[in-house]
Amino acid sequence: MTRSLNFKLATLLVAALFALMATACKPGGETAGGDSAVGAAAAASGLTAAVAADGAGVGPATVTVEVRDGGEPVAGAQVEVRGDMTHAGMAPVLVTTEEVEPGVYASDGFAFTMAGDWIISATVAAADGRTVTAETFVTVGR
Amino acid sequence: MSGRLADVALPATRRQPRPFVDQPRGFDLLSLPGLRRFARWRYARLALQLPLLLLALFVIVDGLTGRQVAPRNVATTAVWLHYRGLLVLGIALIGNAFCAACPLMLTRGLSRRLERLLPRKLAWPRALRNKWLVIALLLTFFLSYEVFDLWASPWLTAWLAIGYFGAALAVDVLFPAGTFCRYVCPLGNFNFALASASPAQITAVDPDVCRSCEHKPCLHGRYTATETPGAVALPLAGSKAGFVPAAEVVSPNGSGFFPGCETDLFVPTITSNMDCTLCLNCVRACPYDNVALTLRAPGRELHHEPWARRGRLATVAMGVLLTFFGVMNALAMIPPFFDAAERLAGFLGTRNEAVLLFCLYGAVTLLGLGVTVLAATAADALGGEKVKVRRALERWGYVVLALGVGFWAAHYTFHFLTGALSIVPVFQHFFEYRGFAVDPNWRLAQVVPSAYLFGIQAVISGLAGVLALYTTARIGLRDFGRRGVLAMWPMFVYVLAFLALQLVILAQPMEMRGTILGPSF
Repeated sequence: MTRSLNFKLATLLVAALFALMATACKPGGETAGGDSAVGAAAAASGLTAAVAADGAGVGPATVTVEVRDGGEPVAGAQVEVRGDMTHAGMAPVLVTTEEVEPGVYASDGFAFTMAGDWIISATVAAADGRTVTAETFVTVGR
Repeated sequence: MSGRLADVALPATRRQPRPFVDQPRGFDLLSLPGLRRFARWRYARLALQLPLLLLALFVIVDGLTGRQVAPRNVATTAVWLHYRGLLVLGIALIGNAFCAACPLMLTRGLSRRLERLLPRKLAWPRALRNKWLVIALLLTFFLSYEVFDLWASPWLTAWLAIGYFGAALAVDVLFPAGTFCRYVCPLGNFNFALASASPAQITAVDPDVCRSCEHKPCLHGRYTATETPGAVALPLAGSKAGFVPAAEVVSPNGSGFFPGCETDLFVPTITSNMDCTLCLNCVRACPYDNVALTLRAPGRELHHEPWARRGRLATVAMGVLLTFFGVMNALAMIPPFFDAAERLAGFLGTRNEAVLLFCLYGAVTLLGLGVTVLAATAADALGGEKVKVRRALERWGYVVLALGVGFWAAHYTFHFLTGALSIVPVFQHFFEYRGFAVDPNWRLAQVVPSAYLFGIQAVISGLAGVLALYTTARIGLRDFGRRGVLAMWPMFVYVLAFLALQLVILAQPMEMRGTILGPSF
C-alpha cells in the first residue's frame, strides 16, 4: 500500500514537473542585471518611471524616482522605494519618498545596510489610480 | 530487560547484554511518550516526507514561475536560508533529521515500476563504492554555487531541485536501493558527515536479541503476515528479507513488507551516523522492537575511529575536505577574498570567474589539506609512530571534521538568524504574486539583533573547538598511551590556529556579491 501511494505521489510529482517545465521559460527581465546602476525605467499606460540610486557605499543613500506621463512630469504620486539584497533572508529597506520637484521623488532615510548586490524597486501610484514599477541594480562597495 | 522484549526467547545463560561493538547506552529518545509508536507506524516516514514534498513543490513552482528576486522567492529563501539553517539545528539537536524526511525517496514507487522495464538491476561499480565520487560532486556543487550564483537565482534553484529528483529517480531505477543516498547524494553525505557530532544514534536495545535474530530484518527487511509461510508468496523475490509471522512480532505494527536498511547498516554494529539516514526502517522492521535512538555525548563517535569500516580514507577525506569547503564558502563572502581574486586575476591575466574560483578553491583546499597532513604526521611522529600520511590522516581527520562542523554551523546559523522570519512574507508574496489579496509583512526577517550574531557564531565555534580539543586528547591517549600527551600537541596548535582563523573570517563584514571581480552591475 505504501509503495502504491508512493507511486501515485511520484507520478503526480513527475506530471506536475513536466507541466511546469512546459510552461516555464528562463525569466529575463526582473533580475537579468542588464540595466545600469544609474537607473532603469518601466512604463504602464503611458506612465513611466525611472529609478536611480546615488551613493556607492554602505550607509545612507538617496534614491531618486522620476515619474512622467507622455514626457510630462507627474506630480502628486505616491512613490515607495524598496531595497533588496540579492541574497535571500536579508531584510529589505523600505522607505517612502517626497516630491522634491515636479515629477521627481527622492527617498527619505534610505540606507544600504551591507555591501553587495542590491535591487532597488520603486512602486508608483499616480493620483488617477494608474501604477507602475521600476527597478535598478546596484553593487554597493565597502 | 526491557518489558517489550519479554516475549523474545533468549539464551538462559545470558546475564548482561554483550555488545557487538561499543555503542552508547544513554536515554532512548523513542521511549518518550508516543515516539516509539509513531516510529513503528508504517507511514511514519511518509508523514515526515510529505511536508518537505509540499515545500519542494513550492520551491519548484515559485522558482520557475515566480518573481525572480531571491529574497522574495520561496525557492531561494527556503533552500538557501531555511533548509540550511534548520539542517544544522536538526543535526545539533537530534541528528540527520533532513534525510529522515527527504522527499526524494518518494520517487521510490515510480522507480520500482520503471525498473520492471529493465532485465535486471545494475550493480553499482565497485570502484565507486566509496566517497570519492561524492567528494567530486560536493566540489562541483560548491563551485557551481559560486559561479552561477545559485543563491541569487530562484530559477536555477528550482532546476537544481528538479535535477535532484531526476537523479534520485534514475539512480534508484538502475541500481539497488540506497545507492543514491550512500554513494551519490552530496547533500545527504554532507549531513552524514556533520551528524558525526550529533547527540543521538541508532543502537540495539539488547545486543543479545540481535545475536539470536535469524533474519536480521533491520538490515534485510521482513515480510509479515498472519498466514503460514508456505501460504504466502514473498514479495521482492531475490531479496534477503525473511518471513516473520505476525504472532512473533513484539509490538505488532501491521503486516506486509517492511524494508530494512538501504545503506547496509546492521543495528547492533552501528558506531557512527555515517550513512544513517534516520529513516527508521530498522525500527519498523525489527520484529522484536529492539532498536533505540540513543542519546550520547555529542561527537562521541569522533574518537572511536568510526569510519574504519565505512570507507576509511575516502570518508575521512570527505570530512576533512568538507571543512575546507566550508572555509571557502564563508571566505567567498568577505572583502579579503575579493581582493585576493582581483590580485589573482591580474596575475593569471584572466577575469574568467570559473577559472579564478577553481584556483582559489583549489589553493585553500590544498593548503588546508597540506597543513592538516603536516600536523597529523607531526603528531604521529611525536607519538612514536612510523610516519605514514594515510594513517595519520585516518587517525586525526576526525579532529578536523569537528572543526568543520563548527564552521558550517556558525555560518549557516548566521544566515538563518538573519532572515528566518522572512519565510512568512515570502509565502505571503507567493500568493500575492498570483492574485490573492495578501499583504506581505516585509518587516519580518531577523530573529536576533545583528549585534548578537557574532557572539552566537563565536560560541558555536568555541564549542566545536572544545570538541576538537577533546577529540584530539582522546585519540592521542587511545593510540599512544602516555606518549599521547606529547602526540596531541601539534593537533592542539592546529585546532587553536584554525579557531583563530575562523573567528577572524566570521568577524569580517559580509559582502553579498554576485561576482568576485568588480561590481556586478
